[in-house]
Amino acid sequence: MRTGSGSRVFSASPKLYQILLVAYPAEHRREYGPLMAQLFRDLCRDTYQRSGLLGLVGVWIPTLWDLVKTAASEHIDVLRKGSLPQMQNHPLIPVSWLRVGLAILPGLLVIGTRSGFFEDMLGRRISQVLEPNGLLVLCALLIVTGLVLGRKLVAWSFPALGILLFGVWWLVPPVAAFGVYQVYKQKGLRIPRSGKIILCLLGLVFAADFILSVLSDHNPEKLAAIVAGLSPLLLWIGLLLLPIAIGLPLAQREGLLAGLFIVAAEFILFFEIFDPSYALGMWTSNQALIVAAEVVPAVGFLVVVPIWIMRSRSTHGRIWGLLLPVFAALIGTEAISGTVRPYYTGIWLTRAIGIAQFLATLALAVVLYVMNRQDGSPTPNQEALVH
Amino acid sequence: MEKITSEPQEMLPLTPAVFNILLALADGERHGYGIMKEVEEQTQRQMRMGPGTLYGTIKRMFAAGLIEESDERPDPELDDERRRYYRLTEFGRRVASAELERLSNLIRVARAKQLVGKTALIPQEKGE
Repeated sequence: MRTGSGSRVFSASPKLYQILLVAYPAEHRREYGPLMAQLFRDLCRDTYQRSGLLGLVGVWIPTLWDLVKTAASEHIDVLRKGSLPQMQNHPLIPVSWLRVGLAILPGLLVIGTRSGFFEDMLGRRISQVLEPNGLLVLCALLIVTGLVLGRKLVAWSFPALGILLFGVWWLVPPVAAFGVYQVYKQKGLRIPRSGKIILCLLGLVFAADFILSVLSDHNPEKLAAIVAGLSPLLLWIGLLLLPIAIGLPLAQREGLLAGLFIVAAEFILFFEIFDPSYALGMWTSNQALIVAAEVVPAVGFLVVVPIWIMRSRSTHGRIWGLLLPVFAALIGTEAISGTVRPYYTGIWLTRAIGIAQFLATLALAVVLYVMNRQDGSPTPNQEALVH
Repeated sequence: MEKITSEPQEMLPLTPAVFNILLALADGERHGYGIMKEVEEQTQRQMRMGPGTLYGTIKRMFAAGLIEESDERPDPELDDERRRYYRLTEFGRRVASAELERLSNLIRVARAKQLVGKTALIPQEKGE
């Protein structure tokens, strides 16, 4: 056996590899982790005896690549085998067009006022009354009507609730924090491990974003701006992954109610963090383009998504209807606003508010859903469609 | 490679990793490191499987019924009890044969099209 620094590297290598095995999914690690560690130990031993320290370097480089490649592949395998096929595809009765119409009514009002259609048709004064005051009254009316008729929060009033939450976001976090604590306590609900990891990463990236934003504000060089732009990109990736990690299992388990709340939360998030019309306004003065950037997402979130979800004939259709428009909107808006964000000094606050709103709304969705279920409701997939 | 199928042809074509592991186990049972070394030797060191690739492939082959674990140990005194030994199943042997036949057919086609060089180490067919 050789001695010196090579010997230390030799003895440390298997331990380090054992630590790195954490990259694999838990089940794979439990089953094959000890065997992989033993194989690597054997490989290190033989290589070190034959070729010394240099040989160990030659073992580590391909092993690291092998680890990255196969860990990713095993995780994809788990997702493919575990999550998606387990999503039961129940046949559903589509919600009646009357209820769908009630669900999209606030959206139509938003689109009519923001596009200038109502102003042209009804005059500026009436248009200004319709939004925001008329919109808020309509939303409140829809929710109350649903509560009276259905004796609980009905599915077709969710978009209206989402819009109302947009206005009172500051009320949501403390209530939701208490609510989610109660739900976790009573129902034993657990956020998936991947969701917790993404949440932690989002927190870290947000902290890094804050520091980098401050640094770049004091050092207006191009390199600093580019570095500051990295963390919003990571944050964006995290925000895309979060609904998959938390939203999808939640929608899968808790049904349409939770799903629609995620849409509402994403709508709020979308407008708070990625305001396409604002970003576009920095590039062009073309009003038609700016109006389109406001109206198109509103059409997507407040009209297309509710129709898609409520008229869906299967749970699979509903979940894809929930997620795909959200991703499409986020990606589209990122293309517009990504380039200006590093120079927008107040963005960190806006983003923090957006994340808080998103998480709080998500938590509120869980609370309300559990409240609904305790009311003696039928199965999750059917209940929201009945009312 | 997730279901056990009755027809070997349904498993074809095999990936290089799967085929090489089948070949490595053709002449007896081996543990993971033994398979890795055998694959290296039989490919003249052109293919080295990392621990992740090896055990990922073994997992899939196991699920597909191509290999199975063996309880037998060559010599318990000389060997670590924690090691797992693998051997070919009858189905795995048939799949390996089917893949060899497929490759042989390809070589025959390549030879007919005069793509195979004189120096290539390819067994001559009977009658040639």
